[in-house]
Amino acid sequence: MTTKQTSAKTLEPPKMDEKEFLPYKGRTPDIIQRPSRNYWQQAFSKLKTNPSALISLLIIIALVVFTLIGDKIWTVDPYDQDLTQISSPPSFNKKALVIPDKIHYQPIIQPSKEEYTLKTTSSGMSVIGTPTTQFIAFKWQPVAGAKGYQIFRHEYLPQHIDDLGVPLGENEGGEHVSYLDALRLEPIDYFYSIIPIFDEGQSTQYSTIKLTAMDAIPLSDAVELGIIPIHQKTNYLGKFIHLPAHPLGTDYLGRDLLARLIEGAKTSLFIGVLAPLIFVFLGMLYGGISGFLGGKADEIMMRFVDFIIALPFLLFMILFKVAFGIGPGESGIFPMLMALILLSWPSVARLIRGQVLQLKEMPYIQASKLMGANVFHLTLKHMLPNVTGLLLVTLTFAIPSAIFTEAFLSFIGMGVVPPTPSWGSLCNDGIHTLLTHPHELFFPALFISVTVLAFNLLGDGLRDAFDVKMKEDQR
Amino acid sequence: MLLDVNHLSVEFQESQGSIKAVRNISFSVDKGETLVILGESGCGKSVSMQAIMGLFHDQANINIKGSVKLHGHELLTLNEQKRHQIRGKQISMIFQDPMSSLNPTMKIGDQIAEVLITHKAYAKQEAWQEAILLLEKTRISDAHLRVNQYPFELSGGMLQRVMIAMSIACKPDILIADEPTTALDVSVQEQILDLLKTLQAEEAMSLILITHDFGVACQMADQVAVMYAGKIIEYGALDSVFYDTGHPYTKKLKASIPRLDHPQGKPLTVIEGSPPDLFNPPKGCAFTARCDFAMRICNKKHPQAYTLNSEKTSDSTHGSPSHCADCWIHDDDCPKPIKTAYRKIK
Amino acid sequence: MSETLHTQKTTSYPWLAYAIKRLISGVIAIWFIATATFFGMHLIPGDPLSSEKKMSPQIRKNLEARYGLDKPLLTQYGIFLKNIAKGDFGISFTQENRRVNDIIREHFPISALLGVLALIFATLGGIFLGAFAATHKNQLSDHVIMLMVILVVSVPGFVFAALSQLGIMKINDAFNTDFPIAGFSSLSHLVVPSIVLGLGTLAYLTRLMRSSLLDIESADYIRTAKAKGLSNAQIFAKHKLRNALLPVVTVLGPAVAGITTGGFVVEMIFAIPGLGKYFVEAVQQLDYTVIMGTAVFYGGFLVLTVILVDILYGWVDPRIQVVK
Ligand SMILES: Nc1ncnc2c1ncn2[C@@H]1O[C@H](COP(=O)(O)OP(=O)(O)OP(=O)(O)O)[C@@H](O)[C@H]1O
Ligand SMILES: [Mg+2]
Repeated sequence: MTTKQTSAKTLEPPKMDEKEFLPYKGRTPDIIQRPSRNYWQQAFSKLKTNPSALISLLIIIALVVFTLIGDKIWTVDPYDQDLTQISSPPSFNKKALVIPDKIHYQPIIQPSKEEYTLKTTSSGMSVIGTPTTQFIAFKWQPVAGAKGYQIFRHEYLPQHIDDLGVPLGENEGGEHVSYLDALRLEPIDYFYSIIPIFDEGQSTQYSTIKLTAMDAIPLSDAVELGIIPIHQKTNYLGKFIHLPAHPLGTDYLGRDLLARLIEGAKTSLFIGVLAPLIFVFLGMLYGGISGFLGGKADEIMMRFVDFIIALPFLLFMILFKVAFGIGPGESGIFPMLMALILLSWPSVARLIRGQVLQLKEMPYIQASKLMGANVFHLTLKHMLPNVTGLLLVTLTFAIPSAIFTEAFLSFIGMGVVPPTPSWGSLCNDGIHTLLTHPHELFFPALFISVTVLAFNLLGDGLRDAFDVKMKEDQR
Repeated sequence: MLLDVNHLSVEFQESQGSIKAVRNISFSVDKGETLVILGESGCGKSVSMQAIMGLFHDQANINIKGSVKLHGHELLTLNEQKRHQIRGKQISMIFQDPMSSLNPTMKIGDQIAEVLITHKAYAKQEAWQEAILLLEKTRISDAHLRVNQYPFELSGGMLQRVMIAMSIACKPDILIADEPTTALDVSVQEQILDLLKTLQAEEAMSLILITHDFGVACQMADQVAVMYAGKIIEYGALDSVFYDTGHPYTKKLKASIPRLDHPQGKPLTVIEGSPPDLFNPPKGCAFTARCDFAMRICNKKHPQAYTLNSEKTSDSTHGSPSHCADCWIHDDDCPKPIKTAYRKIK
Repeated sequence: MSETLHTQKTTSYPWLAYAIKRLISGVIAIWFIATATFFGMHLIPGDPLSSEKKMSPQIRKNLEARYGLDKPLLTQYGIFLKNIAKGDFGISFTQENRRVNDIIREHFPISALLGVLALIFATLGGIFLGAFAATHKNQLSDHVIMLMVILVVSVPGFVFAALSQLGIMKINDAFNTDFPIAGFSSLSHLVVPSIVLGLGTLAYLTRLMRSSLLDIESADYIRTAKAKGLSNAQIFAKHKLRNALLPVVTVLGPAVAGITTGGFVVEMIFAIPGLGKYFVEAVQQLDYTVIMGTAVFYGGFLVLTVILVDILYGWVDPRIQVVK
């Protein structure tokens, strides 16, 4: 731009029309036009562009449906104990052999005739009958000079005699050469080992046999469960029948986990949603009134709020839960609800009060006050729409933390009392069998996590959409 | 030329499209000279200066074109290390809002000393001594106390002095002051401008001063560049731009200077309308919609820069650019009546 | 110069006045906690001794006298407050002759050790991960870290505790190692529990640190620092880090509270004989004096922590002394 020609004509000969230099008529002050939409429309159109919030919303809707009509679809009774399937992993189509109720087993007594030594292979060991989850029986060649045998059970092949560990049982007398095992059997491979005991002590030799237990159900149990009709029950002996399906498995008492999760969802979501609804409402009232009154009243009301907020939350949840919760037939839901509400409303009150104070100073509120609008009208007309965004976001974040609180308390045994299931108490049940049956902890934990995740993501989305500034706080 | 900016463009890539904040601007600054860049809010003044400083380099959504030469060396393509060496040493910048431009949790002394430690390898002790001297140079009261204070303990005017002390610490060749007085009250504004002028003379420093106040331009400028919607629409020596204004927009800016000789009660002129949308800058002259002299052509085609050679300014100093303006009114085809009408207004 | 100083160099100590003010409000808060605990416990239907099985009226009388239960409620309350002021929490109901003070003295240090380890792990880890994620914004590592954060925040702490125990067991089985699974006989027993305990706080601090660094990224004073010619590393170390840490300091109080209560579960699962495990057991056995004593003790501890953090914040952020 530093050096330019004097006239435009010499550089580029413009073939310009004389008309081009007529005054330009389209002179409109171009105010940038944006479609004017209200607060809610704007917020929701912003929310629509947030995929994670939308997916979360879908998940939450699915959860609500699961909770409300789940037990109409999956009609299994959550309190029914299926003793044939205790701690069973998820199964749909499990078959079991129908066997007689009474176990036909006679201990085999066979004195040793000749010298016989054991080898680590299954030398001399053999099965008696069909190994099932009801019982497994086996026998072995008597070992000369033995005064008894120790029997071991493993789920893997022992590599060395030192691996055997603690015996499952012991037979006294060298002629007792059979064993019946009916101790919590599952449809898996078992490795049974025996060691003869001599006068001078344990033998250095042992023998192992691998037996695969088959799912089995005693005849009377099958009748009781309604799988086979009572009048022709004997026809079914020795046949395979379908066991009741447990899509998410069963717990340590054989109760259907899916049914319990549906039942537990009622408890967990009842507490998780109702408590926040109530305390957000209470907090809104208190904070709104406090902020509205202002002055001394506000100061006193807020001082009280400060005190409750200073209480260590979970500690007092436990205390209040205990204080409200001693009584016969108490399931623990109501005390928890009370404690949650009592301890949580103050932080909402503080939030709302801040917002109201801020709004009170807004020019348009001041203006409508001057115009003579009455206080009630003012609140409803101007304040409510402005705090609803904040309330909605607060509520959305309050729900997962209430669900967490329920889970935490139920988990340490301070929450919902058995047999009422809640997601937290199901986790508590599940932890005892974690090592052998991880599904019992996994599914309730999954439900808690997905729910909490969905509410948190939705809360994030709503916060962005409503452009709410809030200090994140942690409990 | 000390600083040569040619065809500089800056675009921000946003999700809704690209914001063309600076569109093909060129100017140059000589040693010891003051260039004032004038323009209303949002016209791209700060963005162009920050592009020159290389402050956008680590941002992904920015597209910078053109060239910026300092002492004939290209700045835009420098590698990171070289850029760090030049910034704050040869070319430094004062920002619009002194309060937020200083680190709130760091002592004033540390913030000034940092420059010296980085560029001149001063020891901390030395740097602090020098910081006090620099602050004294900016005529701040109790400089030795100030170094131990935090930004929130100082007033806006004092903070701006701190910013100035910081930016002249290494005696830069060129100082860019981005609206150094906008956030300050009037009496302090005068002091800061005076200070800048004195320092500039003492150090023989070049100065680029950004403002939207024509009054400030009159007080400080050798050269003036008027920006509108990301373009420089008029450029030339102060006298020439002031007395022989070549663009209707500049005329309006001029008319909005508060003046003592105005008849009482007469309101200040306001430029009606709002600047155009930078997402979609118009094809023609961006000022068309607000211009009293708009012609059909204005809306269709952006005018080129017409050099205005009036007698009054023909004696402009050697090397400095001639006065030019982007307006169809200077075209030979432009009807006489419009030209006359234009010349008539103040 | 026409400008005048906004703040005079004050001769008094604003810091000290602030600290004293906070301490007084802390004492009031502890009083409130004690009161809430006392009346909360006395809301319980029946009385503390009713759970004991058959008891002759004479023994019952003796016990009531021993625990002061024969006096009117307000008198009991007065005695309770007086004892607390003296730092005496009374005698356990279920473990006869054991003083609550002794229980706290014996078990709290273990909880404190666990908590401190967890807090160190959470803060250092959170600051590091948050800073790493922020400096690698929108890169794969950032996405991975933030995904982990969301997952950790959504999974209850006890699940991690259980899973880690399962994990150690599997590792011990597979590699014939002997990592401790439960109990507390050496510091190594606390390694996994403290990691599990700190995990939630770590995730929270990571998110906080990241967003706080990203906020600062666009701050004007960072632009100034760039214009000064500082290198990116210098800017990070001298300008970004300290300011980004300020919000982290403010949440340390709540973080300690979270870690303390989270400790209940972790101590239960890992069978660590800390005060938290003891507290939960006391609640299950309705040991009134232990419940009240530990609750007041924990409450006081947390209130003090919050005050300490506030004072620390005042020290880190120079602006705070004037604002308050
Ligand atoms: N980082 C950025 N990202 C996107 N757009 C930006 C960014 N910085 C500036 N802009 C846009 O660039 C345009 C020019 O901004 P700039 O700050 O240069 O204005 P200015 O002339 O300095 O105005 P003022 O007098 O208010 O300082 C504005 O429309 C602004 O919205
Ligand atoms: Mg600007």
